[in-house]
Amino acid sequence: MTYPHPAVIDYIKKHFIPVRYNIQTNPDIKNKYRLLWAPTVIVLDLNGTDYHRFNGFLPPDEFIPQLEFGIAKMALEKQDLEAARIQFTSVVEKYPKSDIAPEAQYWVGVVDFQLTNDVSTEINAWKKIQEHYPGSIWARKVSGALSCENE
Amino acid sequence: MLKNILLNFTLLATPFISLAFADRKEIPVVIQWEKRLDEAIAKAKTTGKPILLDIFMIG
Repeated sequence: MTYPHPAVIDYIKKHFIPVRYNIQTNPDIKNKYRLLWAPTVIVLDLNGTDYHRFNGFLPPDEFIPQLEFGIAKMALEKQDLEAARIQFTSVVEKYPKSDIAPEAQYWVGVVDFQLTNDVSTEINAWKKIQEHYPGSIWARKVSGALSCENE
Repeated sequence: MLKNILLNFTLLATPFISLAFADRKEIPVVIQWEKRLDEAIAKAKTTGKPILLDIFMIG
């Protein structure tokens, strides 16, 4: 059970305004957010624009990192790069074993490059994916860039 | 005399007061879900917090 978990309650209370809808009785919301199934959790900004979503039940130790990742993704899309870097790094450092951690590390690399315009910062961040998450799809995604760098 | 009465009262009452506060801490707090998106957006704009939209179904 995710929502009754004290850490989840605490995290949501601190970081979000929570709202919930039954997909079966709210076709407007279903259409507005192009919903296919429930449960679906979506991170929205102050205007109701969606930035990150995930489907299905998740245990607290996966659920909270997903929410934090959503906040990071929102900051990145809004080009608040400093905030995005802090949030993506936070996902990796606080929840290193979560499924979303390697993707967060990928985006740390992207943000580092955007902040510095120095490709070596991106490469250094992506090397950590291969080091810590060698079996992840994100390690495969960066493998091309890293192999070019080694040539 | 009065000092002793107060001291005894304090000694007797302290564990109960502590327990009362300890119990209060352990009361499970539930998530206060908004029921309407427009109200959630209004609150979000007031607080600066993003919105968590949870979509569920019954059955």
